[in-house]
Amino acid sequence: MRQGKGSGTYGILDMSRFYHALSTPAVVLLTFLFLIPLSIILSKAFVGIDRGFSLERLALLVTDAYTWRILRFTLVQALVSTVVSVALGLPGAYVLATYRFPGKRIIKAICTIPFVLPSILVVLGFVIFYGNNGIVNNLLRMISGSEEPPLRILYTFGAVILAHAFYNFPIALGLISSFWEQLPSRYGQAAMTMGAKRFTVFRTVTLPRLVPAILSASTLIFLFCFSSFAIILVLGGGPRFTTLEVEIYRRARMTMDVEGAAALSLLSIAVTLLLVALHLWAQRAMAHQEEMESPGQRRLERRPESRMARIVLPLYALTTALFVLGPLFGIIYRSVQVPVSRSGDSEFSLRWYRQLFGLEEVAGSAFSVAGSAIILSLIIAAVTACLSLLFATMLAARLRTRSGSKELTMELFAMLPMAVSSVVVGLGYYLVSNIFPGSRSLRTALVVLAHVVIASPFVLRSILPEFRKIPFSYTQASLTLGATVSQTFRKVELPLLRSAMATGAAFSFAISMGEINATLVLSDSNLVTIPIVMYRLIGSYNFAGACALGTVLIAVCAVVFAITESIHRSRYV
Amino acid sequence: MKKHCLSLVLAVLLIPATIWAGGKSEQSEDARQSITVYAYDSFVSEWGPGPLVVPAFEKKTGIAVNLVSAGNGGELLSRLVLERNRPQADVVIGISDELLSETVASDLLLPYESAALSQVPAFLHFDPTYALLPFNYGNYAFVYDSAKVTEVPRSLDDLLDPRWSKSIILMDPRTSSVGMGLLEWTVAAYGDAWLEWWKKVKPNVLTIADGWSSGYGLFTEGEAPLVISYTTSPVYHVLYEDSDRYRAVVFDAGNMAVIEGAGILRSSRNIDAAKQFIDFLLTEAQADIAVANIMYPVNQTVELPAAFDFAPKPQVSLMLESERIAKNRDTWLTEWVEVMSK
Amino acid sequence: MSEAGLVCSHVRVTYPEFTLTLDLSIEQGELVSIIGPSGCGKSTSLQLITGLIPCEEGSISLNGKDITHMPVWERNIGMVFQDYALFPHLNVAQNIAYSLKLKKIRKNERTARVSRLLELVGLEGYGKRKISQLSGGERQRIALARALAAEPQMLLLDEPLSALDAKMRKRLRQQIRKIHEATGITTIYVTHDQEEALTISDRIVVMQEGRMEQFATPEEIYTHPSTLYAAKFMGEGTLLPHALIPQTLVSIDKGPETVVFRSSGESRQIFFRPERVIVHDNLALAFPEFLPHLRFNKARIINCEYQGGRYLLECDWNGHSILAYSRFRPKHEKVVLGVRVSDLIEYVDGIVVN
Repeated sequence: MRQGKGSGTYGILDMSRFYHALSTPAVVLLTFLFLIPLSIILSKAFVGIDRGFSLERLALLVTDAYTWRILRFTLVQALVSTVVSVALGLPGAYVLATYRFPGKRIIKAICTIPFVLPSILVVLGFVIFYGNNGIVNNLLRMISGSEEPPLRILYTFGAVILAHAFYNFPIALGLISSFWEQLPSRYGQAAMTMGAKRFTVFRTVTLPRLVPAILSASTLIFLFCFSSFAIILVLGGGPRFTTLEVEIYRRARMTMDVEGAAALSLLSIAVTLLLVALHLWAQRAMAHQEEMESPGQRRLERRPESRMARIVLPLYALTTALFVLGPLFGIIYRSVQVPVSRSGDSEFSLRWYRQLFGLEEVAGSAFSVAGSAIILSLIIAAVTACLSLLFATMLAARLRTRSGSKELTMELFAMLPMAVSSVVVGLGYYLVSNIFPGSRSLRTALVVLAHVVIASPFVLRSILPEFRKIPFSYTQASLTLGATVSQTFRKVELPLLRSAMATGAAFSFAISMGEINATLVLSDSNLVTIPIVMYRLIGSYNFAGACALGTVLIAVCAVVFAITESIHRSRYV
Repeated sequence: MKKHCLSLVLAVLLIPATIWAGGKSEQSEDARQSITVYAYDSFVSEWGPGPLVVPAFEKKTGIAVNLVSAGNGGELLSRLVLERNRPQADVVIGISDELLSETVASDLLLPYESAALSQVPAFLHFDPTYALLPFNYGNYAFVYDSAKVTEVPRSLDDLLDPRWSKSIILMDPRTSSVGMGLLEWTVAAYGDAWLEWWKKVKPNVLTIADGWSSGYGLFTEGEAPLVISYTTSPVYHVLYEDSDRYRAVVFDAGNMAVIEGAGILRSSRNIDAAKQFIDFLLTEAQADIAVANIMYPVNQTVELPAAFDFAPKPQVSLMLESERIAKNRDTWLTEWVEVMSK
Repeated sequence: MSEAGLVCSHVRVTYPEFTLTLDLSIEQGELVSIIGPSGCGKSTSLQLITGLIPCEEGSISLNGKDITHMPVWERNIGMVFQDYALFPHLNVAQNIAYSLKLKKIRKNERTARVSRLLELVGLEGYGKRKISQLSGGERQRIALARALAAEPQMLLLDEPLSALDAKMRKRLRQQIRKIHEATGITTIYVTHDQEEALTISDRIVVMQEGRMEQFATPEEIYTHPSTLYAAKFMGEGTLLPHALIPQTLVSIDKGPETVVFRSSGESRQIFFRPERVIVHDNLALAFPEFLPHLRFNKARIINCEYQGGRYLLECDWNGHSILAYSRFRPKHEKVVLGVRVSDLIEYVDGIVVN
């Protein structure tokens, strides 16, 4: 008899207090550190001019044509960015899912890096590489000999899309390729035996099966683009391109109109929640569709076989590598340059790194704390990774049974931090920081917990689908063999989630390394992390030094992701 | 089963424990010979003026100072307002002239006409009630790349010249205080016709960045030869890069000023110590603050390092009445967006 | 008869789609098969017995001990799953030793027991292999070894051979029977394959829509199915209206049996298996039968299927379909079929008439 999806199947676990208890810490944390502050902030949207309850702010907002204009632009740019990112990612996902070639893991690891970079570094990297006076243009100028920059990419709508694609196409690549890898090839083969050509197979068999993965990646990318603002303003060329987030910032920070910011945030959350729900739905569909097929069963082709593929694939690899690595390279390039003359000539030097690691004394510079900032960042990130892994795994164990509206609400709730604008979250933390004025160690603990809240959705979204893929018979088998529910969780389920947990932990680590908003709001100024020193360096006009620190950040993330990938590889084969 | 009980207990204990710990430290801060000072982040940070000023003050007076980083810009004021019923600070440092009218309206600060104010020029006395006292100030200015610009603009109108096409980097007043500074500057310079300048400058603007960091970063990357920043910006390049390539230009008609103020809270239980701290801030601490912040000291008697020679002081410091700013800020922004987003 | 092993009395679980009722008693050391179509409640019954599904009504006892509300992990009932559920993160030896480790059995003994079990299932030296390196049949045997490792009080096998090819199935079911005889463990074997059930079991439960249709020995189930459903499920056969008897009956005076002609009706039917049919392909010759029998003259052959050693004939007689085995391929298109009255099973409303 096929196992039904009814309550009976998971009956034994529904009864178990173990799984209920597991999710408690995560729920408590999310509630106290996120939901309550957020609700307090958002409730201000209902405060009328006369301080009483009123809907007039919201009414004013939705009747204002300007609101709709920026909402429309926000949606349009996010949609275009998403389509471009996914379109760029699909061929790459195909290559990664189909062929086996050296350096594949490295590519996957590098691809995740842009995602965790602070936006100021992305902007700088883009300008250093693609700018009018950037690396690309200077090279072209050398070739053509003209004075004018030959390639004017930046400060247009196209530049915004390009930057968003740089940020997000790796997400599409990673998500879709790992799903694609696990699609059994027999369906495609079946279609071929019925006379379908390769492309027809793709269009009629593979693509429909990829839809959930594409949708899941798309919604995620859309969410990120939806709340983007630094990139849009700087690279788009100004207020012609304005997103909701900019207006929220204006009200929250510049005009001290917290009520107005809350009203706008409500509007924005309404949209993002819809997307998160869509994302969760896609994930469930994915987990439902996938069969637990051990990777060994799907044989990857060693090398591209047709001549066409042999030309097109390296070309694609080269362009995407250039595309992703260009800005990263820009940051690294700037970090090893020191100006030597007034006209702007510079030469190679490791001066910033010497200063960074305290090998060269500099008075009164943020460099003096860079060493300890790196160590502190590593510690905070490590603790964040462990805690968010713990919380998310526990929550995933509870949510795995996927039954009932209560679980769906809880899942949505756990994903909420991903859907709320960072400006609003910042206001929430500000509220929290006022309740806890206490000691430094307490502040540090708060920063860590805030990082956990921010990172948990990402850990959860990497663990939960894997958890749902574990055949329930494994759990049942373990129980009949004499293991209790908690022993089964520890000895069977957790080991099977190892690689998903590694991915989640790596993301959590990287997110914590790059986080600045919550850190700034919650910490006193003596709690100094890498991004804070980076901003301080920029504040004292040392952009190259900031790039050096950014390079350290990139290196740390690269190492962490490379370790994760090696854990992936050793998975039961 | 043991394990999950443990985690449950942990979770239940964690939250009340932190609240309790928070409450504890609150009470223990109430020692007699100590004051609590709220300041913005970079003032408190290790390379800011705090670590220089505080020990010197403690050594001189024997009064212990508890320096607390309490956010940036408007956050300082809103934190004080939030804590109205259980005040913790005695002194606040770093509320700028922009927020004067809100500050005065909150009625949280105690007016104090320090004797040291006699050494401060009259134009810096921005608060006639003396609830906020000026301790340092700066001027916004256009900074240019001398490797590319030979004929320097001398006024806001000069910037409208077509030869600057796509040559200026500005910042968005909705997200950047420097951007807001330029908006106020144009209001101060042109009055009601301020939007005309913005309409005309549009073709000359390369981009309008979200903040000073990215905008100035674009400038040093050579994307455009002109950027809105501070008159003191070149000092950094001289100090850290030994380069005078980037220079600030002062306009004959004057540059917009931003004045940072400090004040004593009415709720303070140690007003005498707080007054001593303010006096110290306005006299002996002036040089340290100026060098660490790279801002001008308000006290005229202070000697500055040679690098400050590269920070040209404008003849005229433009300012707007804070009531006007408070009343119109939102309207200005809306009108600005309307013009600039077309 | 030996002691009662498993006793399920008035066990009942209700689902939106169907209700499962279980009322059976299995002796210690017995091998009982549960057979039925997909969705009849076979797997659910096993999950009830192991405790994977809570028992809502009734009681379950094992070896005299009430286990109705005992948690799964304390019941010590071994189970082999349809997909084997071998843990992919552990190797073969670790999988088998899983329960031993939980019981904190010392390493030396664990190793010894693992190799004994590997020997029992005929896979010596497989300990270090990864699960992904095993074939289907090997996985099945490792799953069996793992279930036996804890020396369970009872063993449940949930369609353990359904994923394997015919040859492997045959070999493994013999092995399972041998292992059962060697260990003497009370076993329930769920299958949807009647041949498997007949060959392997001491007794068989036929299930349909959550109900037990019949619980008896294989011979009894095959030759005297208590319901028409069980009769059809357990093998091929011919179903005819009882009303045909008068027109086909050949009574032989000397015979000991008398045929009682009962009142006819739509719901009254007769059933017989194909091997009970005598086939004669010379219509002119007399029928060599000396007992009372039904005779179907001039049955037309619709299909003749060679099965190796015999032929299965599908015939049409006056619009009725009759199945028969024949030792030879009939030379003509039409044959004469006969079946002894003593071989007929009679059903009213699908239930056997004694």
